[in-house]
Amino acid sequence: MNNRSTLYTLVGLAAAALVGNMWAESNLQKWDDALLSHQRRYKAIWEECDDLEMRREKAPKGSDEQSFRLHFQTQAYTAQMGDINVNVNSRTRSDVEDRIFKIEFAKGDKGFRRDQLRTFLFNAELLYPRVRTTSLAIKPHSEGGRRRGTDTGTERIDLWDVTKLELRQRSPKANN
Amino acid sequence: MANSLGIHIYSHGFDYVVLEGTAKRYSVSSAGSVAFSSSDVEDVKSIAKRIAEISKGFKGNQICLTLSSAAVLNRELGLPFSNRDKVAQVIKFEIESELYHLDIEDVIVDFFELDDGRATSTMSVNALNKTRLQTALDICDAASFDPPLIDLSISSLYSALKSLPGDDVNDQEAYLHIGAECSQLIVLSPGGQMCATRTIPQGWLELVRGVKSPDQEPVEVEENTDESSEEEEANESSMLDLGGDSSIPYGFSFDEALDLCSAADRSVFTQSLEAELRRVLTALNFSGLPLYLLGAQLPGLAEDLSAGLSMQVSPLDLGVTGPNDTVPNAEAFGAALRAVGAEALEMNFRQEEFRYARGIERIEGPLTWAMVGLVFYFAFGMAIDVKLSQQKSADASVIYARARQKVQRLNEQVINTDDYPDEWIIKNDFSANDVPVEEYIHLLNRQVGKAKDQLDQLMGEAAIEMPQSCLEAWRLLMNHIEVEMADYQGKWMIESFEFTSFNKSANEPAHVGVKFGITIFPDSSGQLIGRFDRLQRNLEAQDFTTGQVRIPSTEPASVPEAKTATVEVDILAVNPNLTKKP
Repeated sequence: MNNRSTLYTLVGLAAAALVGNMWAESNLQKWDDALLSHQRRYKAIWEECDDLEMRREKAPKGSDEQSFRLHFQTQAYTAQMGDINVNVNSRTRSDVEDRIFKIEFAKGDKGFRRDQLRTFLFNAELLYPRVRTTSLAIKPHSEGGRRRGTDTGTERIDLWDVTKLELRQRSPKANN
Repeated sequence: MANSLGIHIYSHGFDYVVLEGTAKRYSVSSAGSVAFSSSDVEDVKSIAKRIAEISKGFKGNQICLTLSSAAVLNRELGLPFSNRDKVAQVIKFEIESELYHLDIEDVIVDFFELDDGRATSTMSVNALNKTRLQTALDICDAASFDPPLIDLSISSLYSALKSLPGDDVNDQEAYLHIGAECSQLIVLSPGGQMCATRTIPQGWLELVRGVKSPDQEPVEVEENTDESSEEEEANESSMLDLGGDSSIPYGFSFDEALDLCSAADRSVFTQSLEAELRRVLTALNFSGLPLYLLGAQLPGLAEDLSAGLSMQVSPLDLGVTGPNDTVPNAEAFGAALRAVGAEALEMNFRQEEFRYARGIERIEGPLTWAMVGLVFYFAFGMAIDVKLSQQKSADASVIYARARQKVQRLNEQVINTDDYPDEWIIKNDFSANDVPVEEYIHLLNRQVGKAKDQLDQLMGEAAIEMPQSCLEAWRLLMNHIEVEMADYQGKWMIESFEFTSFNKSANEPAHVGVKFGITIFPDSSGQLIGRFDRLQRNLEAQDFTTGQVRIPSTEPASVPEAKTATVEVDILAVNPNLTKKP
């Protein structure tokens, strides 16, 4: 191999080495970016997993009627409000779907204190997503469930009868 | 039009010819001869300065330098092949035995083929001393040009002869060029090819051998002859080696030489030349050929030679003239023709270490080392980058593995907990996906994000307008009433509540309609007047109410002096800081 051939070979090698060097630099840059991206995403994944773990524990595990009935009955039991009857209806609007729960308390001799009622409603709303109390009518408790005229202003203890209670869960309409 | 320069350098001067045009169509734009003074030949720069005045403006490949054939060893060598490349490979070894008195490494050898009619090829081999070649190149270098061609005057003369019109020569012809320091004999075959050459070491400078140089100061004859002879030797040794006889005085042109010499000198010159010619022609067995004379035109020389040699001798004009009808030197003219690409004998003494190097060749050495350096630099940089990339890749893989483990633990929780739905399992294996490994963590992050969105959708209220809560409306209302009635001395009591949540309509926002019954007793002073109005007014002023607060009527309660009323109010059961009353 003469000098010229050697030079050309070296020029070729230098060009190849330059290309290789550029590739290696670009590859290093790629892995630099990848490592930064891994570090950033690792942190996000870790935090989101912790968040999911915590929130899933508190999340309702079912969305069927039975689950709801169980939920409301549990809250009524917790608030010492006795048995309840839950009627479920559905209503679909343009973009949302409502599940309407009509709750009837067992007619008894005792009424409910307002704090009992508030506790029940608070937990019923809080512990199930997108549930709101949409209708509530209470009146002072009357023995036997019968109102004795309009004896307004008379002294009475804090006991009330729930004449109407309706809760509603609103969900986005599924796009099928 | 392209220009070319032919320079013929010999020991006592140089000739030059500048041609304009191509090898086939040209004209002499400048021509001349310059005689060196004795001081010139002691310094390369002095000669170079004179040549530079002429060579200025010429590019290297437009210049052909031709050196005098005087003192160039010439041998004829028979070879069984004639291919120039093959001959070039062996010529130096073949001629070495012929040049037994020289070191073959001290000479540059080149050759041309003779058309001597033999079955085998006969090469005319010329050996040029490297020192002489180096001197010529030093002069060129000092004159700031680098000729790619260095030829011999015998070869240039051939090129000049080939420019003669008409190739239909039927018989051999001999040409004698009388130069300054030697004469060249060329015999051309009927085909116009070189048949034989001889260099006769006798030029017109012989006419002034005994004459003092014009720039030589008169020197007193010293008694000590030994010292003067030593000085002469020292002077001779300091002179540049361009061939020729340095004992002949410097600084004479041909016309001056003719003026200075006597008839007897010319006669001696003619007789000497005639004798040499006779000897050469007899040796070559070319007696009786027509002989044409070129170069220095000595008056009566042709006739004298014709008579003495008994052959037809006549002067020859090449048919080219320079400015002012000057006749260009045939050797310089031939060199200029070769520079412009005319037919030549292909000899070029720029060989071995004197090889002509164009552009890149000159920096080939440094460039090679630079390339080696670059290769190592790039390769080293590449190796470091690759190693770092591998390290970062490994680090990224570890991070991904840990993130995957975290997700896997979450998935195991879903699997191990009965009431967790299976759709809560997050995909964390992407080996089947056709994506680069470094993108896996991005996919994993997306899957976790999807699980979060799924949970948000289950739990959240983001995209939909929720109905307003009666419980919240109750809380807002009761908080207000308790504050409102806090400063009231009398007794009051709520008789009933009725909350109904309304969706947003075209005319009004989503709100909770409230009807509540309230009974107020007079205070200690028996005053009750205006309490319902105040309640109505203050309720209406609250941020959480919308529209008018209505109290259709107040009625006497079942208890004396107390009054009862049903209040109707619409409540915005959302954060009052977000929804302000218009």
